[in-house]
Amino acid sequence: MKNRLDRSITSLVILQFREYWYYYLVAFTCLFFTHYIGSQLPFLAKELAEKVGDGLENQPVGIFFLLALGIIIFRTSSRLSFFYPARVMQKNLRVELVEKLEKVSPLRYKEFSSGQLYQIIQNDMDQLRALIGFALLQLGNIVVALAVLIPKISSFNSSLIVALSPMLISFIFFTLVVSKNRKYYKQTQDYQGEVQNFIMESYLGKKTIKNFHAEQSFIDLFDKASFKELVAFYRAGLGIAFSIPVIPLGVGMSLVWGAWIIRTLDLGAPGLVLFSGFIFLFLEPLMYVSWIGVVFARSGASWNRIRDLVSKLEVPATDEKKLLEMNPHKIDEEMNFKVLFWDKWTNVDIKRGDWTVLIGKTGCGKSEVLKQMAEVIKSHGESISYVAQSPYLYNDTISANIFLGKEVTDELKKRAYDLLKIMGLDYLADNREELLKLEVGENGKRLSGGQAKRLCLIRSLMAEATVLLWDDPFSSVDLILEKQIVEDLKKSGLMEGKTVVLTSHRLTTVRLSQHVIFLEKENGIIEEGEMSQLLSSKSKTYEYFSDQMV
Amino acid sequence: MNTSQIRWFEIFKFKGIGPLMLVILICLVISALLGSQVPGLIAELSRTYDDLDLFKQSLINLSIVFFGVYFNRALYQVGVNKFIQLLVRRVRNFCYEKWLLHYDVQSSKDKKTEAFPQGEVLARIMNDTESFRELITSGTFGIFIDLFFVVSCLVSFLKINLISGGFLMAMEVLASISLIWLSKYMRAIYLSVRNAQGFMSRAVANVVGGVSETHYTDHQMYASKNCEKRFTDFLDKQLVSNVWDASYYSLAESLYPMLLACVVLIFPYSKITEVAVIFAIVDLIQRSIGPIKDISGKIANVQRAITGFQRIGGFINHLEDGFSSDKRSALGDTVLFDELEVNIDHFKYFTTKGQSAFSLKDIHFVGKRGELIGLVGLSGSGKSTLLNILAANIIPDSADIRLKCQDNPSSHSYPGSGPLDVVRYREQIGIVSQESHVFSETLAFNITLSDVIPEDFEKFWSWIEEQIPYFKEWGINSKSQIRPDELSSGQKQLLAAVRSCYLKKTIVLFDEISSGLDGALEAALRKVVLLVQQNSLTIIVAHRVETIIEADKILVLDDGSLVSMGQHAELLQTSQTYAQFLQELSPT
Repeated sequence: MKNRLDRSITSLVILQFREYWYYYLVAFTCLFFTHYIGSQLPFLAKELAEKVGDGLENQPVGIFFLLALGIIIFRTSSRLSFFYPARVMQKNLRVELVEKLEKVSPLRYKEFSSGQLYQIIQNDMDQLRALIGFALLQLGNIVVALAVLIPKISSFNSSLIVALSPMLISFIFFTLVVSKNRKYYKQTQDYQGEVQNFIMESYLGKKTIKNFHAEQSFIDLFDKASFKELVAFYRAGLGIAFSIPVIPLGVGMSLVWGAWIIRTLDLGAPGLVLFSGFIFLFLEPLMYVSWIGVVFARSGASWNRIRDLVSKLEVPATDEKKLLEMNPHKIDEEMNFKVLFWDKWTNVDIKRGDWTVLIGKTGCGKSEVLKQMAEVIKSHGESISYVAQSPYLYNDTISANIFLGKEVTDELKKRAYDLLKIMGLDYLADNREELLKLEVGENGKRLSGGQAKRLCLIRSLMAEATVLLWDDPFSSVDLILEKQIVEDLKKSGLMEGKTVVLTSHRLTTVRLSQHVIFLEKENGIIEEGEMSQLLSSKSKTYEYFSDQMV
Repeated sequence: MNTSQIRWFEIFKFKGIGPLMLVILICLVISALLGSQVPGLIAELSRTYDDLDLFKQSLINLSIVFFGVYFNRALYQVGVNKFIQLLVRRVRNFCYEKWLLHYDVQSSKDKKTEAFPQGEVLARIMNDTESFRELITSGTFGIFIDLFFVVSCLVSFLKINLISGGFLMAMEVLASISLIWLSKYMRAIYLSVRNAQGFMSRAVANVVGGVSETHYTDHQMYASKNCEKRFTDFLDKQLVSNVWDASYYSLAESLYPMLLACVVLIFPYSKITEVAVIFAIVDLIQRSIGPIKDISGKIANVQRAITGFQRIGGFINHLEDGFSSDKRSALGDTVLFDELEVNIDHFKYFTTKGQSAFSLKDIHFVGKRGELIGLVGLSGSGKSTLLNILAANIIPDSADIRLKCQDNPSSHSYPGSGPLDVVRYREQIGIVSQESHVFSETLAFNITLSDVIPEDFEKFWSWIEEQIPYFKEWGINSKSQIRPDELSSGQKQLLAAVRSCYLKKTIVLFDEISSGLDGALEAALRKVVLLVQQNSLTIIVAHRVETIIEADKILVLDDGSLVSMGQHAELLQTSQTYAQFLQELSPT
């Protein structure tokens, strides 16, 4: 596949022309014929006007239908041959970008929120399509139209061209207003986002709102947010309201001026018919030209945003580089990591094949340690599986969430179902097939937080990974279920040979592990050792958990 | 049917609608008047060609009409804009209010949960009203005034030449009808494109949300595979649709020569002898092609707006069927309840097939303001069901839950005799659970839930800071902006608890977090329970022994029944289930 993302926008357009030159050749030829046919029509109308005194009984009609057919064929072909390559390019660009995104370390694009990534893949790519499909078509259209129509009208009388200026001016005016108005449309969109957020918050908090009878407060706030958006929209519409009718006015003025010229040069009354026909022909390409400027400006900004993301995806991020420099060798039997813990490089030693638990106060940096370990192992190409504190579920089936891109065999399905049973998720459907086909909804909304987490633990267990990193895996499972799950997991044999690193606040979870690492924000690792020893002596770990021991 | 008519009337009755409608109507009439002048003036221009003064006068007349059209059209656009602004505001507020006031309740007879999930609520309030606004952005409103103009042009041309005018009119109507008819088929194709696009954007939104996380697991390029499938599907649908709409618009553009042909065909009968009439008729054709071309495209927008209205109607109908509260507290009376008596004979969950449903039976107890009642039991013993019934999120059929008052014989019963009793009961309850929501607003807003912060709040807050030193340690004050994503579930619960402490409810229900707290936070939470207890009857589902050791009463649930009731010390002696529960809680 050609690399399209590494170019400037001009070079992208050139590549597009080179790759699909035959389409564009057809497109321009068809455009020429369309306008050529169009330019014949005012002359035919004038001819009718000239002959009107002599009686019009036996005028040929076939020619008109032939021209109509010509317009249909050439117009359609020119549009299609512009659109097709643009659409294909858009798809290729999108695929290329998503693949890039999936292959590199998330550290490279961590400053982009998922909303921004969505915006780039979805909307910015669409702007680019609009540039290469729509804007180039209309640019070609106007160039060909002028090239054909101007000589034609000059062939009748070249002084008439000046009468087209009111129409042209009205278009320029309209274009200016439209591009200025973008500010208000942008504002409208931003405010709309705020209103949507407000509704989402009201949705999530509805029980709370109702519980405390704060409905009136929220109704007022909603009106405020919603009206702000509507005002911006109204402002945007105001510019359009005054500028759209300028176009028919311009057309009318051109007609009046043209008529005056025809009269002063005494070109004859049928000349009026001819000139009004030409005004009509100019109207169509000009109509679209007004939007070209907007498309160019937008797509330029869009391509810059795309390029900004792509350039970041291509080089290792600073954090990524540093981690790799500090951990240059493959993590082997002795799993010794160097991680950046609150600006200090700290050694974290994990025993392969065992369970190690990281403990410490909320916000002391446990999760960060886990993530850095994941990055190090992954960048050395070893298979790992990490489960975040509140993990993300894809809006897809349970099966897709467990297996992701993997080929699903019957054997795998059976194993997954066993795990679903162990995790207490089998009750969600009547049988295995139905359960695996169950849709989990947007970010797992149809499952509770605890269920979503357990599903991710299953994904992690089904992954071909020797190292499992679990961030607070059992926090939303009650003590009794936790005990059962871990017992069943150990019985099932799935845990054999796997190294597990987890974080927890809970004594019961800590008791499941062989090793404990106690982290403190200010002092780094303040204690580490075997769980059984630490919990039976007067250790810091013992002290930390003393109030959980009854 | 009746009710829905009344409702539409209600929606359209807002301040300022009368004058606006009048302005819009006047603009339409003026447009028709101006339109009727055009063919005559155009013909006049050609007729007076030989007399310079008359020709000048014709040009001036024509210019006046063009300027008139401009001002009329601009005024119309402004009026329509304003109308839509007010209409959308009205409809949105109406929907939001109805939705917010509506209760989602569950009872043993039905399971009416989440009839409108988040996406659906957003769609109704935002997207469906958006379809009204699209009438402006798509220029659909412009088409109305254009039609008035063009139709009156055509009609007045009939005076100049009846036969060719009539024939032209018939042909144009025929062309419009055929284009509209064709557009029906186009719509099916557009719909498939829109669906494919919907799937694509969903796939993209979905993938960008998770790709950074699944990078660290065995993903086998799930995101790329998934997206590529959607991109390809979209491309295919889009290409098919391009073939259709490119030919459709070309067809519309070929109308110019076709209508000219019609004029020529009718020549033998129309007896046109003047250049002026030819000029007028050519001008008429050129003027009317635009609106004919547009009309079929815009009809889809009108239909979309109508569908939007229907969907909103359905939404409101549904909301009006259920329970709704009043905008402000319904409880005008000042009765201060101080006792709760709970009698639940039986409650069973609604089930579809012949599944065995969990049920709750024979639960009877009383509690007083200032008391702490602990609720314990193993997983699945019915704690959360009981809590939901007490919170009136689930409405039991055979039960009587009564709020009483010592100094006053009046009492309030729930479920009582209907929705109003449930709503009134609910106003006495505060709930603090994992579901308690913290808003991304200031801390003061989160506690008072009021846009205008009451004067007494600062005093309350300094008292809280005094009582619970954790807040100082945490480093937030009453003006801090709260970012819910950055809070732990314990911190959220702490804020929710302070909220119910501020609002002084008769009864506060607590669902304690089962884990994930560090020591300082846990102490703060325990302290806040004591503060709440000063004003309220506090009922708490406990996951920690420390919470319930001091309780005035502990209810022990097992398999949906209340098996024992008493204080910690006595239950230790008498209840085996309680002992078992404590055993499970202890981590050894």
